[in-house]
Amino acid sequence: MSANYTAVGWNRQKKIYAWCILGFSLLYLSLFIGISLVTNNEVTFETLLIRSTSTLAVLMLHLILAIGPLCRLHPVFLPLLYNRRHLGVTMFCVALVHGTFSIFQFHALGNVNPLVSVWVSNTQFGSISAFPFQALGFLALIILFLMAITSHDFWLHNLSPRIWKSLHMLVYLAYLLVVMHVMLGVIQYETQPMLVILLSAGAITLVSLHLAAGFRETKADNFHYALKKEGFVYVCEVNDIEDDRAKVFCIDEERIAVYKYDGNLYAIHNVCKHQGGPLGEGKILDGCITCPWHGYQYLPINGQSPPPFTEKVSTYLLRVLGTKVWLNPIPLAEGMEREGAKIPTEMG
Amino acid sequence: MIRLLRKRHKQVWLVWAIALPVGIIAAWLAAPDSPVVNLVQSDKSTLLPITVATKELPDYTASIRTNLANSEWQLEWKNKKALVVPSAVIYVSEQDKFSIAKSILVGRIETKASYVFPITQPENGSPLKLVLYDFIHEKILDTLFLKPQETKGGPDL
Repeated sequence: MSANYTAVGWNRQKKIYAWCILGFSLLYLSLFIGISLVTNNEVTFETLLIRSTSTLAVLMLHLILAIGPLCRLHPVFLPLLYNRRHLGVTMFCVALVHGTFSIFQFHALGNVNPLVSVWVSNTQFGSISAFPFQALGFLALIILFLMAITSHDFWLHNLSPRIWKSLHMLVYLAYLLVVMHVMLGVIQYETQPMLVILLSAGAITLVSLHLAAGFRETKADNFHYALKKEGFVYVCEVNDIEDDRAKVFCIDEERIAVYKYDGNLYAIHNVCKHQGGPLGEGKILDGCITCPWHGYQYLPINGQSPPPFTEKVSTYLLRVLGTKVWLNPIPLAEGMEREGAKIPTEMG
Repeated sequence: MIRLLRKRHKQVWLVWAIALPVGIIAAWLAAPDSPVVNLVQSDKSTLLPITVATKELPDYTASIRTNLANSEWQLEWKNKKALVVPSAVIYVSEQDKFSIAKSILVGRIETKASYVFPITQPENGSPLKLVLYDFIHEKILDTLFLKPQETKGGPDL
C-alpha cells in the first residue's frame, strides 16, 4: 500500500518471498542442467538453457494459476498470494530467456528476420502434428510481456481496475497457448509419455481447483436469507464472529463483510479497492480492516483508508437484537461514517 | 472480487475443462509413431581412416569414409560457412524422385562445422545420392552423388 509511485514497496515479507523465488529458480535450473549433463554429455549449452527454462516457466505458471483458487478454498495459502506479482514477473523473465534462445537457435541463421521467421517458416495451420507450435509460444510470451510490464500498481490506477483485471485475465489464454505449444511441439518428437502425463496432471489439477473454488463461491452467492424485518436481514449470531475477524454474507448479489472489533460490529463492502481482494477474509491490524491480498487498510468506522491514503469502500448499517445480528444490505456512500452496532457487554 | 469477475473466472475454466483435454488428447494422438532418430553427430575421434569418395563444393565438402576392413562407413560433411536456412537434414535417397518417406535420414547439419554420421555401404558400388533438405521450408537445397572408389591404399595421412 503506497500513496505515491515507488518501484517496489519492499518489506520483510516481500524480501523473503523474492529470495524464495530466486532460490527455487536457481536450484531448479542447477539441478536440471546438472542431471542433463550427467545423463547426456553431448547436449549443447543452448539446448540445455532452452529446456531448463521452458520446464521452469511451465512449472511456475502452474503454481501461479493454482494460488488464486487455493486461497479461495483455504486461507492458509494467503501468504503465497501476497506477492504473486513478483512470481509472475520472474516467470515471464524465465520464459523470455527460453523464447529468445529458441528463436536464436532455430531462426537466427537464415536470411529472414528471426521474428518474422517464427511466423512464416511453417504455415501448416491445417495440420496437427506439423502445426506451427512456435507461434503459440510466441503469442503466450506477448501476453505475459503485457502482464509483466503492467504489473505495477501505477498501471492498475491508470488503466482502471476493470481494464487491468481484464488484461490480466488473459493469463488463462496464455496458459492454454502454453499447453498447446508443448503438446504440438516437443510432444510430437518425444516417445516417452512422461511429459504428457505431467502436463495432463497439471491441467487436471488447475481445472479442478478453479472449478471447486468457483462452485463454492456460487453456492455462497446464492444463499437465501429468509428472515427480514424493516429492511434488515438476519445474518448470524453475535458469537459466530471471532474478535478482530469477519464473516461474509452475500445479499442481493453483493458481498458484505461484518467485522467484530472493540465490542462493536461494523459492516463494509467486501471488495478491496486495490485489486478486489476479499476484505472479509482479512483481519483487524492496528485498528484497521486489512485486506488479506496486499495489505490495503480501511477504518471500520467509516470504510476509509487512513490518511494519506484515499481509498474508500461502502459501509452498511447493522443492528444487534439479543444475540442476533441484523444487516441492512443497502449500501451507504463510500467512506460514510456510522455508529458500530454495540454488542451487549455480557456477550462481548 | 466482484460477482461478475467470479462468474467470468468460472466460465473460463468451464470452457478450459473441455478445451484442454480435447487439445491434449488430439495432439497426443496426432504425434507420429515413428521412432526418434538420433541426430547427434558421432564423436570426431572415431573418424574412419580411409576416404573413398569426396565432393568439393563452394559451401561444403562431403566425403565417404571407411575403415581398413571396409566394414564400417561414414559420411563426413564439412560446412565451410553457415547455412542460410536455420537447420537442414541430409537424406540418402535411392529413388530418382526424392521422397522423405522412401529415404534414409542420415543427420542434421546447422552451422559452420564438421559433421560425421554413420551410413550404410551402398550396394554394388553404386553412387550414393545425398539430398540436403530444408525441413522447415520443405524444399531440397542440394543433391550430391558420391561414387565410392575401390579401397586399395592405406589410411589417409
